[in-house]
Amino acid sequence: MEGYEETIAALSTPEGVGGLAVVRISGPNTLKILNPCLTRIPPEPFRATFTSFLNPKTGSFIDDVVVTFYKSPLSYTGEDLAEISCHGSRLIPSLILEVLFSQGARLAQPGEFTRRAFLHGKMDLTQVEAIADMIYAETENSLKSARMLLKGRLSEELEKIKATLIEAVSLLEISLDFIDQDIEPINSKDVQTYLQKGLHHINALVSSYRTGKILHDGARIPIIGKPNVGKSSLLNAILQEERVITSEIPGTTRDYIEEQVNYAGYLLRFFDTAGLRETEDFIEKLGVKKTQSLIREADLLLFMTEFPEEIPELIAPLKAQSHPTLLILNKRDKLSEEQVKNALSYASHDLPILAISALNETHIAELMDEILNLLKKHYTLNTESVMISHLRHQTHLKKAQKALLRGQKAILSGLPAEFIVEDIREALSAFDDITGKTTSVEILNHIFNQFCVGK
Amino acid sequence: MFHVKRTFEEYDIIVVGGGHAGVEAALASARLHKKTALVTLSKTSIARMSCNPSIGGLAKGHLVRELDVLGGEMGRAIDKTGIQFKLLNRSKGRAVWSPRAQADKRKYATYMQNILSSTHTIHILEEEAKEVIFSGNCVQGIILKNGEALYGKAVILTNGTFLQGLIHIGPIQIAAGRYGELPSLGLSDCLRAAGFVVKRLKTGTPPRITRRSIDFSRMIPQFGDSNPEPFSYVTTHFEPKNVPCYLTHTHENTHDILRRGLPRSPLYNGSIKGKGPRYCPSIEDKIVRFHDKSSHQLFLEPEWEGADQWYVNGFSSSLPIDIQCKALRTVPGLEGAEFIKPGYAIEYDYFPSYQLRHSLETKDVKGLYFAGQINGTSGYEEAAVQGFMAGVNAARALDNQEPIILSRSEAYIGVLIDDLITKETDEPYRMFTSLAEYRLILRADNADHRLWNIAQTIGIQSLEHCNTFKKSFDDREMIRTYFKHHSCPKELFSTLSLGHSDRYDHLIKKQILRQEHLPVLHEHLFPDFQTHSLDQAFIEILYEGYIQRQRQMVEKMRLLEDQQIPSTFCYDSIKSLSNEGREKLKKYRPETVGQASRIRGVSPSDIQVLLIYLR
Repeated sequence: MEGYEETIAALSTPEGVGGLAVVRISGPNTLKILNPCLTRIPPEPFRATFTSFLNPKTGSFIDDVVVTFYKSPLSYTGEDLAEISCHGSRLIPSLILEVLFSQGARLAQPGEFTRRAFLHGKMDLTQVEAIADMIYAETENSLKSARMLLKGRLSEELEKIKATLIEAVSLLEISLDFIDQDIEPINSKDVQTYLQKGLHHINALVSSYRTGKILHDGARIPIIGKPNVGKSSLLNAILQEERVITSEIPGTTRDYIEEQVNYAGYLLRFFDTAGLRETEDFIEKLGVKKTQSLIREADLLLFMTEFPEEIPELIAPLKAQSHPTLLILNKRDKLSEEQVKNALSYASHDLPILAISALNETHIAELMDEILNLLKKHYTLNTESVMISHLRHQTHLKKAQKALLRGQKAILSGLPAEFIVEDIREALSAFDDITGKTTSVEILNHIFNQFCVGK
Repeated sequence: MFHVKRTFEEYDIIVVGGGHAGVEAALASARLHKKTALVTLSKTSIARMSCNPSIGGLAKGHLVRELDVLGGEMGRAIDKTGIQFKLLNRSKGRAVWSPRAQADKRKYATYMQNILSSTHTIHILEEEAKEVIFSGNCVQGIILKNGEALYGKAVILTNGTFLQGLIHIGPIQIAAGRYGELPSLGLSDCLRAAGFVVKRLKTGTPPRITRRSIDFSRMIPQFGDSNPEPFSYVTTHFEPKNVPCYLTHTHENTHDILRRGLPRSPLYNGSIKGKGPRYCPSIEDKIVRFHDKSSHQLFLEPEWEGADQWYVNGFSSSLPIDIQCKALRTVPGLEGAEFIKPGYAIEYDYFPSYQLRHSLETKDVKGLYFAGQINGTSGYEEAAVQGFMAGVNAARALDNQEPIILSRSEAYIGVLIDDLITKETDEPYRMFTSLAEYRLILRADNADHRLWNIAQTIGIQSLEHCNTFKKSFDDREMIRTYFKHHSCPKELFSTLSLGHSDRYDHLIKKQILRQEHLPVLHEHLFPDFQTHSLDQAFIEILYEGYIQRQRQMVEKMRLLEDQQIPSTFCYDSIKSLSNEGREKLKKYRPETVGQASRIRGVSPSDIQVLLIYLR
């Protein structure tokens, strides 16, 4: 049994040197522990108070801090809670914590603040997951999608879909339980309409997983092309620093190298791949095999060539494959104006072409903008719309999707109404699994284990 | 204060009330060899059907079948005395097929009265229970109106609509338990004083009219099935009558008259405080709530064979008699309707069931059981199953045996009792198939296969019948296995004149082998087995995917259902429960986490918290 009688404290900001550090303390004895340490006791809750933080036992000064007290239940954890903003060094927060521990607080376990918040009914599971996302959010946009989840937009959307499905079930139940009263027979088309509507929204959410994942984990962008075409140079140009070894010998990049770039609020993950060609070299073969799986999971392909005369024959195969692709003509500095112009004339809406010089770092900004354009176009990276970025959500929604498709099939094959109800109810219970109605303790533990101390 | 006279007779179990709950409770108790007293206001009204002359119907038919397997009397009684039988919902899937019968009210009551009086361990007392005698938190017996104390180790209250019963007919109010029968006054005050929560509910009944005043030629006759099926698994020689009912309908003129009477309706002028059933609205309720519907169905049903008294199903009303009469006379075929009894509404006391354990014993008083309409249910069938379970569990408690608690995945009876206890309802509770989340496996046709082992544990159903049920179940499993491992031989296949042959289960799932082929299969493959076993094997295979998924759900829930919550559990000590959740848990005091999860207001987070604390 866990004691929520205990008051816990921990550093809530990353360890190390920074402008500010925040120490959190939560539990029934928050004030009892904290107040003796302060020269000015916060006069009221929810108000930042500037004060000195002392060791009450020795009276020695530790730091000037800002303390905000949140009174239960209106706090993050639902308990009495205080945030102490101090100067961000390694030493000061640890001194503050030491004092708090000596006064009766104990160190919070990983995720314990959020666990308490959940157990006090302050948030549902999707919201807990959103907090985890916020902590790990790498860029501004992924932060936005995490905040949206936190606000419960996903829960809201799920409730809406649930309502639609409940409509469908009700129609069917009426036909089963009320035949002895003269109610008009139900039209299976109405049920179909509801199912269609529910499925439509579920499908949108399921496919938003890709978008959510791009915002959350970053867009996967492998750079592919023949050996020595300048892939590593391009990566260098993008990173604007020499991190990847470039050489004149084909096949130096045996495995792939990943580099992450935060560009215009989006996380872009570039993969420098091994050259695409048949080779006898075993190690190189492995590299190529990895390239293929990289391509499979790609969100956008950068296909690179240095020969303008190759372009006409590349168009068809590149258009035939399923990934959004940007064709890059490298080493434009070695080409004539005429050659570049001719090459670019093959560009189209679904296969844009850019000419750059990776080595001289020209037209790189243009390239970056085009990458963003393509991503936005293909994945409607609208951070305002509801999307999912968790495999768990995806799995449950797919379960619901499967159940509803089975229900539709059941209607068409003339199965009796109670079976169709069964399918819809199964879909509904998949929803409960997302919002936490039927989750087992194991899932919870898994979620809570994702948290570091302090949140 | 009463002057308490001591009587020396002491009973094991005292059943108060002789309705459908009381009858089954007394029989179960006596059949478990307990010295039983049945206290009723009038011997002749034992097992009386106060409302519609029928037994069974959607989901209710399931209840009767289950009760029958467990050893209750209702199924056998209606098979012996019913005058028209019909399997409802035949156009739908098997899970919602439900047997229903028109009853001969007189013969039904007489049958039950005879069974009771021929059971020697039952002592019938024509008396009124005024008080319950408590000793600490145990029950000791009851005090009768004549001042005598009747001592018993357990008391089962099945007072139906009699507790503070108040009939409304327009502006007229009559204190009554049923039309023309006295109410039971005082008992609910006594229980209220003992700490029980008492609330009011309302129900209603339509007028009864004379046969000679009905012009049947203007109505459509409705017969039962020509190949009727009995309710009871043990009924043999079943050749019931097939007496028709008649269908007619109201129209705008009817509605106009009713509408003009609304100001004098106790339902709309605020005289009635209790809430009525939404699934069984009065005629005035129908025209108000569904005002664009220009016509409502009415069924004319005989109350017994050759009856002069007919029941106007669909015309339940508490409007003044003159309005009821005038309105009914606009209906085709009822132009000359003569009233025997008007329709009326009745308000009565009930005890919200969160005060009960799943054994139907009250949480706070040992040995005191509630069953039937006083638990907020409606319907003869709902009452009967509760009476039976209360009788069985009271008897088992005296023998120091664990109570029999049917789970939601075992029986509709389990769903009914669990719903009553975990879901607060402010209208009379009626059984529906949609309330059973495991509907596909709780069919009316497999009650014997579901419950034979529990019937055996209870020990009321004869061993012979239990063995028959078990064999039938084993045979079903054998046939199912056979179908999964054997292909249909060519000769048999050509007899059935089907396309290409395959394994039996494949043929069934592809619906090449269908229900109509079963007689031939029976004759060729399993002539020694019951057709019932073959039929059940067939259903199990045809809907295998769905049935399996449902069984998996049962397993998934088992974790929660098996997690007990100690009765002394202190919810106040857990700060992390939501306020609403804590209040509800304290009020309902669920016995398992599974029950807790079904209480409205207890959030998923609360359940997680409980699991963490109980681990």
